[in-house]
Amino acid sequence: MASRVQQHWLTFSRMWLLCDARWQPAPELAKRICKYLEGRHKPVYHPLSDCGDHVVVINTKEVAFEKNQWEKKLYAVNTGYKNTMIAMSAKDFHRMDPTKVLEREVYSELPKNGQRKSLMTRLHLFADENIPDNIKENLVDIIPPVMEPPKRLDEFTEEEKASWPRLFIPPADYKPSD
Amino acid sequence: MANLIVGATGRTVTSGFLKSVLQNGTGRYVCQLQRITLKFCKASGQSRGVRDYVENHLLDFAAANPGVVVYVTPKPEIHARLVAEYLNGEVHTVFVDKKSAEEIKQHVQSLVWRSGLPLVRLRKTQHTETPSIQGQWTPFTNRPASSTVALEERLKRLKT
Repeated sequence: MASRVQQHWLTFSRMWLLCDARWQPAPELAKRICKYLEGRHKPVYHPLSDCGDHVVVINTKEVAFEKNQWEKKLYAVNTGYKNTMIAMSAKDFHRMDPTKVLEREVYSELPKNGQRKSLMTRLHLFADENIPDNIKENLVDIIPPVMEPPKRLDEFTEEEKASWPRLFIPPADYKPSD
Repeated sequence: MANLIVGATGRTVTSGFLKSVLQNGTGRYVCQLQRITLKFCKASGQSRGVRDYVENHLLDFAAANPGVVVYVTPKPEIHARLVAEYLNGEVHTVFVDKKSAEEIKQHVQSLVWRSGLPLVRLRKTQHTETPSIQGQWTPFTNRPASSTVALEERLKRLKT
């Protein structure tokens, strides 16, 4: 049995959580990631106690937006020159760096105080599924997805395709007209 | 006394945690108020409520609280006040100018119930001397084993 002091260390130990951003809505996913970054999912949460977790996000290049948000949503970008803040659409911003959109979404979702930058250092974003080994060995748990990503047709097995309910079975010589 | 804050101004409110004097009340209860002094003017209108209180309620109070010494000290042209002295040496003063006898009765009762500890802003509304025997919560308590399996399976499916 661990001593009381060691138990305290275990209570506030940082977890490393995996999150898959494939076909997840970016604002809702950012909201969920913030909950884990701040530690609000823990029963011992208190705003003054630093009990947040590390979040490793993979597949950020496949993150989703609803409706025409890729064209409509604008991000302010500093070009590095004086008085040259420009607005870049989410589409262009994502094309520039596929991890930037989710980073901005999480940054704007976090509480606006001095903790924000230190919480952002615990967010690890990866465009695809290549995770460094030193991060992969720390992983402990998975963050549940905001929504289940729908399956593509080529991901269904032949049995599932055969057992799919059909309104009518076309004859063998059926040719769809153009 | 609460710990003095370095650089405190008049508007600084000291903060602290819930405390009691030697766990008073868990077994027997000892009234922490030892002495109460009623200072008022015999003539002024502002002390009229205190004079009413002395005439109508003070004897009942003294009979109900035999452990409290009550002094009545009329002085000319002073602000009416209740001075309470506690077991730990603290002295609290309540100014009761222009207050009715009923209000003063409530003030006196609140002085009786107090522990003598300084009034502070409470940082937490609960306190315990005996933490849980089950042990503190950790990220691994009540964690389903299936989550570990799900992570292992997901890590195997990574396209690296």
